[in-house]
Amino acid sequence: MMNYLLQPILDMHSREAVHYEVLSRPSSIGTASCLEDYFEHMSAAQQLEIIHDQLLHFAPSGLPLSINVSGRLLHDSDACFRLIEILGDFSMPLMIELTEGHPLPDAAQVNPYFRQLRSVGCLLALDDFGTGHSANIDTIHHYDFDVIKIDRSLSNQWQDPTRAPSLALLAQVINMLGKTALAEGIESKDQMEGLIKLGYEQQQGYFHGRPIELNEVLHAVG
Amino acid sequence: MPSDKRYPIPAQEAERLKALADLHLLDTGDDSHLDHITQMVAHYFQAPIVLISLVDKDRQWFKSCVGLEAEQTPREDAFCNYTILDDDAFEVPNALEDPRFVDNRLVTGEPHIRYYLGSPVTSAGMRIGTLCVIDQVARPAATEEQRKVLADFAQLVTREIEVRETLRQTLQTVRGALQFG
Repeated sequence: MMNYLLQPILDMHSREAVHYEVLSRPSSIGTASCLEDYFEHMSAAQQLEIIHDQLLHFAPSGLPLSINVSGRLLHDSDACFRLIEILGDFSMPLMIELTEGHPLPDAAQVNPYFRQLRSVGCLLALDDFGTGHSANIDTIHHYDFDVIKIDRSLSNQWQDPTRAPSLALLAQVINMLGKTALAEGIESKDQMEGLIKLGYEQQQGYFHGRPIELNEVLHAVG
Repeated sequence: MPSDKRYPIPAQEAERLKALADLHLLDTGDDSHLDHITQMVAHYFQAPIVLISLVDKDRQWFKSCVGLEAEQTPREDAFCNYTILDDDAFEVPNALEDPRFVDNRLVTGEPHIRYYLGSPVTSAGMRIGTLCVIDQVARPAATEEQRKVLADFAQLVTREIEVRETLRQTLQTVRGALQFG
């Protein structure tokens, strides 16, 4: 079994973790990374097996998880229904993070899946927004995401006086559309405060918590 | 020009379809603000079905709906074809007594429409769709007040859609400024 780590996603009003993103730590590399890269080379069945594996592993903890799912999976309707079934069986608070590494199927096809996923208690997040993986503004509009994860390549521009106003505008529009703006890659107190001022209600990064083992999380949560 | 269609085509149909396409609203996800409006309308009219219908070239697609499973229907079945002909509300008190609708598939089959009251929703001056109230039993003609209330709600829908489009354009500007994509 793969070795999983958890990294907290904080709500900046309560300063508490609202989700823990499941990251992988394959023994060969030793650094935590997003499972998306592994999913790239996997069949839908293998992906589903890994997702099932993660839920089995973490469900007893009761922690709200955020798991990565390849956008490619959405092209396979059988796999989608199986995913909805698996998540429904566990009935735990979850967030699903999707990227556009592969273009998503039409919104008309995807939004009904999103609706069903939401009905079994899942939030939907668009991952890596602002990178080559996910840069299409219309994606925010067409697809029914609850959370937009702003990539570190954008959130580390918070101090740049030519970029900060646009980062603020981005957060504002996301909020006005009824979605949550989540800034990734937070590495310092100044950056945390700067991005709160710019409107990023949720944050994730080493400053808020490194990826750690489940027992360390449980110890910290008490 | 005579049409071989079974429904009337509005005067500025090409411009109307362009205004609809420019909104990038067809086939988009749920919008909680618009869903609140349809729910309020359903409550006010005590109606089982309320729709925000966008009238596309060959179909009507429902941006928000209360009381209906379908997400779209062929355009030829749409009562809304008549609502988008002018600015006034369009009403059918009893579809079974109206030769335009007595054979309509939405009347003879699910959802068995009997009563219809619709008010146009606009964008860029074009009637792109409707906000409409549907019942499965016939109703007496709507009062002036009811027509006014529906028109006001339709105006709210119009404004909500305009705000959404402004936000979309703002995001495009942001993308340019942040130089990604």
